[in-house]
Amino acid sequence: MLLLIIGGEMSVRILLCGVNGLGEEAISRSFNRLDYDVNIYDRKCDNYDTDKGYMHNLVEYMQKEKPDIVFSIDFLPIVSKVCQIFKIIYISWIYDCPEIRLYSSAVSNLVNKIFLFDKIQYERFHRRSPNTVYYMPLATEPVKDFENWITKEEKKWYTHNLTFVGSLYNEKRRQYHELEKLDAYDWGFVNGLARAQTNVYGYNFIYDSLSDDMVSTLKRKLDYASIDDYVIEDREVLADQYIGAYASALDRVMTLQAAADVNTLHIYTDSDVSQLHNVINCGVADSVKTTPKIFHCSRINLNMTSKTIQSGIPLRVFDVLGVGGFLITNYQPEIVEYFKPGEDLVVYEDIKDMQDKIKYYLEHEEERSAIARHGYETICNNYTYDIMLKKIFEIAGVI
Amino acid sequence: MKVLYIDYNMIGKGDIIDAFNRLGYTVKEVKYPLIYGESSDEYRNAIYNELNDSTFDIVFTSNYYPLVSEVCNLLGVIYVSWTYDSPRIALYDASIDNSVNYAFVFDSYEYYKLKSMGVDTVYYMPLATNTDRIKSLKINDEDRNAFEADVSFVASLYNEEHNLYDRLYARLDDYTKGYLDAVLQAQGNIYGGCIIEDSLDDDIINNIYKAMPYPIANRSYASLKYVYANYFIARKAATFQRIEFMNRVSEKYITKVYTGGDLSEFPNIMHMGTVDYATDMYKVFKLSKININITLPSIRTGIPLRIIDIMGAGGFVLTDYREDFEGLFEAGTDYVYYTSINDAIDKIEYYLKHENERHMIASNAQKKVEQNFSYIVKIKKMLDVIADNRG
Repeated sequence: MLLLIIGGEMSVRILLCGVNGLGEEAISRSFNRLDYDVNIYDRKCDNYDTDKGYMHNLVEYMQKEKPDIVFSIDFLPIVSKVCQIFKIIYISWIYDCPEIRLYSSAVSNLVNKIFLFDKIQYERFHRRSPNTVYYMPLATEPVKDFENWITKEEKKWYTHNLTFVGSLYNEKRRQYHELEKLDAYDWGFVNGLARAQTNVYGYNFIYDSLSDDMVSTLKRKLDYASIDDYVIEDREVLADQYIGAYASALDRVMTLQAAADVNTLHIYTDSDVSQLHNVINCGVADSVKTTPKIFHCSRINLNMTSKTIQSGIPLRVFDVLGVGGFLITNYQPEIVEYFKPGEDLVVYEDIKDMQDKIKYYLEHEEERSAIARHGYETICNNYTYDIMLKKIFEIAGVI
Repeated sequence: MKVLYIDYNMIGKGDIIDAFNRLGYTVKEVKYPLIYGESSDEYRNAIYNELNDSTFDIVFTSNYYPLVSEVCNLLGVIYVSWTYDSPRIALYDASIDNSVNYAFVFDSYEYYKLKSMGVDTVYYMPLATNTDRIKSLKINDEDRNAFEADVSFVASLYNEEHNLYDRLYARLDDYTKGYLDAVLQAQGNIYGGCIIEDSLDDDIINNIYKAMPYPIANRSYASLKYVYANYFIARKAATFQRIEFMNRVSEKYITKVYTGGDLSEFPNIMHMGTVDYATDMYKVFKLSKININITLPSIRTGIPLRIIDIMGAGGFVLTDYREDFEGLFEAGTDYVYYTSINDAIDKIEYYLKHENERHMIASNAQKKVEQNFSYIVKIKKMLDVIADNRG
């Protein structure tokens, strides 16, 4: 155990390694409220496994400043390696799933305290590295003073019946597009599996549905590079990075179209939405300044969890509820564990159910507001960054 | 009151007739030669003459028959059917909304589906068994030698040669072959529901149709998707799922499988051949420590007859989950469900070791079945439905 409180006056010094991720600023404000000294290290990094410049710079910083704790959202192998030689505790809280970097051999460095929000993912990685991997759901920074937070004009601007903020996962750059070059049979197999997965919430069967033969065929044809230092089965790469990602994209497009069939859907995204009908593309929303206000104003916000998150609650759920927004979300095992469906938020079990619920709640404003209010209270009392970070620090043994 | 029971060689005939009798109905039983197709002129004429010659209040069949409905509709005789087959495309025939029909189905999903299409002649009725008859079966040492087992499974494997799926598959293009193989794999991993129908998009249905067209009757409520999903693919999925399940379980436990299919590839499975439905099957259920049920995927929410039969025999049920259990049986008290093969193996392990719990669960279920799932209770409920409707 490290002795962190040095003298009575000095507070614990945290170095936050920035990755430009969602919630980073809110987390840093939360550290301040919890009386930590926060410094942000936000040098650009080309590759969190191998960028030597980033590494040398971080080493220099550590030599000079000697923080008590290093923190990041996402797990950064290079930061872990540096912390390991300085014996400084490195806490990371992952909100991506899958997070390919969790396959890095650096995960087992004993300075790590890695927090995963998806129980199934946690169980998988905890088995591999029982001393460094922990479970913690995500959180948000609830708005406290709504009066001064949003203007009348903004309210008018962002009030829609039905809104989705996020990616369609269909960008050309995404790795799964390489699946399209497969032979007819294999491409058919991938489509059948991905399409089947879109029908099931709360259980991902892609990994279990790939035979050894199919794994070796797909690996040979996709010919992806393995990363030095990473311990990952081909079945995992294919199930998560390729087919799972593809299933998530299919699911998004289908579900959004089904929603838009009920009511005009406003989408804030940088993805191509040209294949959807009855949607209004509002472009990208600034995740810090604008998105919370959209969540707040929209009559109905939608969440559909990426198929690669098997049981966990995605950040969007917390963010919508934390600004008093009303949310209709797909079923996820942990959503019904931490929230009460029908009281904090509304959960759909299949596409038809989602359409019925959109129709119903568009017509029932009072119920909508009551649920949004209750969901907001639940967040404030249980799932703020202040509360969850405290828990993380307790589990990590630093307070 | 008079009932005409038309015998199509269906399970439960004696029990149903007995239930009507005990409720004060006279039952006439007719059976027509099998050479007549079930929608042939001969059949139509025979039923018409039968109904025309004497007065019947109700015509009853196990499973729904469109031709019977049409004749009843013409003559204004109430037609009660109780369908236990799944799938049963006849339920989607245009005749289903004939007002003489009282078409009882055991799968509430199917009931709601037909309702949502505007059919209001369908009703939900779980299946039944005859515990008195089962109890009167004498078990001797020979039975014990033959049927005692840790784990038993009585079911069809649907793996007969030239089955619909294999014939279709041979004609498909590569993309569709891959697609269907994936859907089968996925379904094989799912216990507690069916994703086949929802996974077949129009382009896949078109490809299947090109390979093996299926003519949907005029004004049918069934879609091509329903037919291909349930008659072609679901059965194949059951074959995969059942064989893999039994093979895995038989690696650890003495597993007796009663089926007509071919299991020669799986030396650990004790292949027992088929079993007589009316007698020996119940002895198997009674004498097995654990009775496995794997529901056919086309049964979306219903409780299969097999489960009611196992419970009625006083056997212990380990099954995949179906929504219709809710409100009828309690998990852990009346039956136990598994969510994957591994989960099933853990539960087999547990319940083989905990004999008292196993017996308690089996006995709870048997009591419930005796009280609420006898033929007389169910037939009475059907007659109540009819009385309510007719005022």
